[in-house]
Amino acid sequence: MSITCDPIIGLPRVPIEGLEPTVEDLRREMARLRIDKAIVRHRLCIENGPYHGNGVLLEEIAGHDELLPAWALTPDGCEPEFDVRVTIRRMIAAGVKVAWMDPKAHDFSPLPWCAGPLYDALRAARMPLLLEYDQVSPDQLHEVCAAFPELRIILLKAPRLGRNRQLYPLLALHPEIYLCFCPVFSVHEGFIDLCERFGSHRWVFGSGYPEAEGGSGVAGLMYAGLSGKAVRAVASANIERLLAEVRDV
Amino acid sequence: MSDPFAEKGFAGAPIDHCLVIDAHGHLGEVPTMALVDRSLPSLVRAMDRMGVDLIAVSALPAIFGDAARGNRLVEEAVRAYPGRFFGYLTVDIGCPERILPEMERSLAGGCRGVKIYSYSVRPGLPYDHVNYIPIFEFANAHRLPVLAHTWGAELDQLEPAIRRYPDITWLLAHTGCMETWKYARLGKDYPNVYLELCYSPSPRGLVEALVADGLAEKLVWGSDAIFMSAAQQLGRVLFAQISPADKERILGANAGRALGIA
Repeated sequence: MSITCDPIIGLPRVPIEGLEPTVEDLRREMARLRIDKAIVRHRLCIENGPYHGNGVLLEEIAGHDELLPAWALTPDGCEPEFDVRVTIRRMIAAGVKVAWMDPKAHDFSPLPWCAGPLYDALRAARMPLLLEYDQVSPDQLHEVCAAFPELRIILLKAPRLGRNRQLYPLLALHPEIYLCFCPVFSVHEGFIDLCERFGSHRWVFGSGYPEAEGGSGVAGLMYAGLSGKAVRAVASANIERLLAEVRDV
Repeated sequence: MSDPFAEKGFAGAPIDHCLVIDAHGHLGEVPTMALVDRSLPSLVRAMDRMGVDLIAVSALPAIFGDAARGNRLVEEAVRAYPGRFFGYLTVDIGCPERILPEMERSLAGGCRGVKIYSYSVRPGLPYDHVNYIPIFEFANAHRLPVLAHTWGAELDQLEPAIRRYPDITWLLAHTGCMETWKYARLGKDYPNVYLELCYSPSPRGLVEALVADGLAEKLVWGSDAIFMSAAQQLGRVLFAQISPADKERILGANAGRALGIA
């Protein structure tokens, strides 16, 4: 059993040569790489609008239980209430248990003075927030996690910066920061070091769909030198646990 | 039909049914980041997990301004693990008076290839700078392979040397990082050019496209370990949608030819 946590579907306005990241393409890749489930975001959330994209996502993945939707959220939530807690209630009612945010695309500050209502609602729902590494600075991330220590943030696309001099202190300070082991996060003996230092419960698996060869992520995990138990934790058990702990607000 | 490479990748089992050569590795420290474990035993342990028979390494300190000390790291690895390390020597490109003495010394010390690095992420000199001439003359005279860090534009600066020094086997690093067509053209136009694959984003479909372009005999696998983990780069080939025979070529046979060791 494995669950990939970083796919994004939807045709970009500027094509990615040779790639058509559709539901069918994602499912073919999952079958090829023996990936059982995927947490899926939709590119329209970035290129069009977050709530438009969320709606399209649900339409496109309907009937495919192996695809678990993630909704893009903004601190103000969606119309007509513009109350992010109401938006999250709707998400949970629609079976959506994962959020993501893109402060750059959606023009808001990720700092608590602006995005605080979003973090507070996610914290209350114990809903994981997917966040690409380059969306916020390490200083911003620290400020957010210090203000909302129970907020569960899963960092995607962390770069291959070795024993990262900013990431390690953040992981040490903030136990609810999780990290996606994916193709670009390529660190010699990095996964085993993280597991030994912080435990194996804080990491999830990512295949880098659609841009990356997903086999890179599979091999990155399988050849990491982790115990079978730790591999299973990263491959699926950790994200399953986080999803199971989501609660209504 | 079952593919032994993919099956071993799914199991995390070593690729032990064919020669596996990592043509692009490193030793030593880098300024911008700490490495988890840059010891030789750590690198060999990782190689053993994956079934990597041999890794061709240059020293990161040698690339970035301390060639003599860096090359000694490589020479020590070659001596410490016979048959597991192939050494690329590097020179301080800004100090022309040091170039030939260091090449002579390091060749005698056990290095069998040359690594060159121009200027992508740190200051350096372009490959058409006059300081490179003695390096290429030396490598050509000794029939040494040259692994060249390349990132698009550097290929244009390198092509005159590729034409001029036919006894050098050129390995163009980071194939497909940009302008893939240019790498492919050089691989096709010159019998002494091989295309090395390491590239951290692991672009989907790149290996397949290069093989479909007729370059299966010219691709060599490299990882950039210990600067990165070799595992993700290995996965790009293990799970590529190409034939097992082509995977065998890319993972080892081609590099054996390029490095003159098989």
